[in-house]
Amino acid sequence: MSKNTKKSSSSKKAADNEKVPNEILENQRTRVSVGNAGVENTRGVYYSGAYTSLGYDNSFSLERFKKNFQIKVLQDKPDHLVFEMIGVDAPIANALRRILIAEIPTMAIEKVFIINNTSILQDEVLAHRLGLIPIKVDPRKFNFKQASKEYTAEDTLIFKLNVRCYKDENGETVNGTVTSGQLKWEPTEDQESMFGENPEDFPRPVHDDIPIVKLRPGQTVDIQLYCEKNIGREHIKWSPVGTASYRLMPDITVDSSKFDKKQAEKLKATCPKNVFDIEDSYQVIAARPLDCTMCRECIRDPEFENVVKLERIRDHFIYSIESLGALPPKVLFQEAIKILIEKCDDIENSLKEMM
Amino acid sequence: MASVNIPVLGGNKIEVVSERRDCATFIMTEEDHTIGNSLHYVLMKNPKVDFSGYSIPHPSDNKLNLRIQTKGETSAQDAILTGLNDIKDIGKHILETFNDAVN
Repeated sequence: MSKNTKKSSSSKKAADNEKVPNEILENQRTRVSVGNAGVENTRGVYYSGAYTSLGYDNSFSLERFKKNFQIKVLQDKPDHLVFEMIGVDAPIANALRRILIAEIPTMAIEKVFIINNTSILQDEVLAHRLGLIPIKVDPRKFNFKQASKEYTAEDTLIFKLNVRCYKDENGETVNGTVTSGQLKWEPTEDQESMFGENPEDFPRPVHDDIPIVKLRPGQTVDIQLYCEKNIGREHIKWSPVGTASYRLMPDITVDSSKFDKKQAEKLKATCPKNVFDIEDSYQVIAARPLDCTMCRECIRDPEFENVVKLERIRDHFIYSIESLGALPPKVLFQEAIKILIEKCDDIENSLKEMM
Repeated sequence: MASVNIPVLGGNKIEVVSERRDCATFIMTEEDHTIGNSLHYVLMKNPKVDFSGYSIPHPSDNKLNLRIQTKGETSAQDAILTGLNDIKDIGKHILETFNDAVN
């Protein structure tokens, strides 16, 4: 009998030993771990046969991708969209982020014709400030301007800024600060019909209260501004987003089986973001992993170093898109995907042409 | 300055350096990590591809080199076309799912 037990326990041990390397590998495949010394295992492995020993097929299959892929919206404001993107790898998520920042076209002031500027701001500084003003207009209505061609209604928007500072009869200074709200749109040809009836939809700066230059009584600025369509790679003023960024979903596991009340409360109190909750019999769980900033405060104490496991899920992205106002963030993300597909088409076409 | 949306004419966008059917280096102009890393990723995930890697030889050159070696079944050209289609399929599915999620 005792012999039997011994045998079974030793065979169980052997099975455990076989399982351990697989568990480590599986953990490496799906998680990025965070330790006291820093992050580990950050690099994803994409070779199709990389995890054959796990019995995991690492090759690309559209069916599997479709089965696993999910999007959940977390925050949906007019200028800020936060959503979870699950089941996609970093190269694709990053490609979309890069396109959002640098390759979605918008309209921005490109040519500044200064007719008169008696303010203390130099012409070139004034022109630079004007260029950075975000313009609220749908860039999809416009074409890219060809450098060799003249300005047309399809590729250019014209604004005028003609402000003179003076003292009124009460001695109050009028127009002491020139703001973006004083930019006046000058429709060319039949441009007005492009934007419908409602003056709200007409091209204008996103914000009306951006200070451009300060004037003293008697000073004048008289400027013509030409907006062109282009992308953020050319100049950041054409970037449609304040930031587009992502982070990986935190995954915090606590082995609190041996915890007493004191330990459970101590661990809960270490977290500055209040991620942990205490459940029945002093079990600590990470109830709000989205709040975790990976500050590592919970693993700093040697008491908890081996109790709390801080990890991030490799294919679970928390995406955040902050629009500057030209297009809503939802539309920006849709456009980003379309541009990625377009890029592939371009390459495919030139490859086929060559073959 | 040339913009991405003004295509490079005359098939100059891609140049292929290849001595054998199963391996090739594709030299693309006007492309960067956005497409380079995505292509490298889907190519590595293709079981018929043995190796893929990319580099941007000089930051001010606007050039991207993509190296592909297949296991012999397919040509490097076919592999890159499969890769491009995979990215497009991924993109289309992300777009669909996103539209469902936000509406």
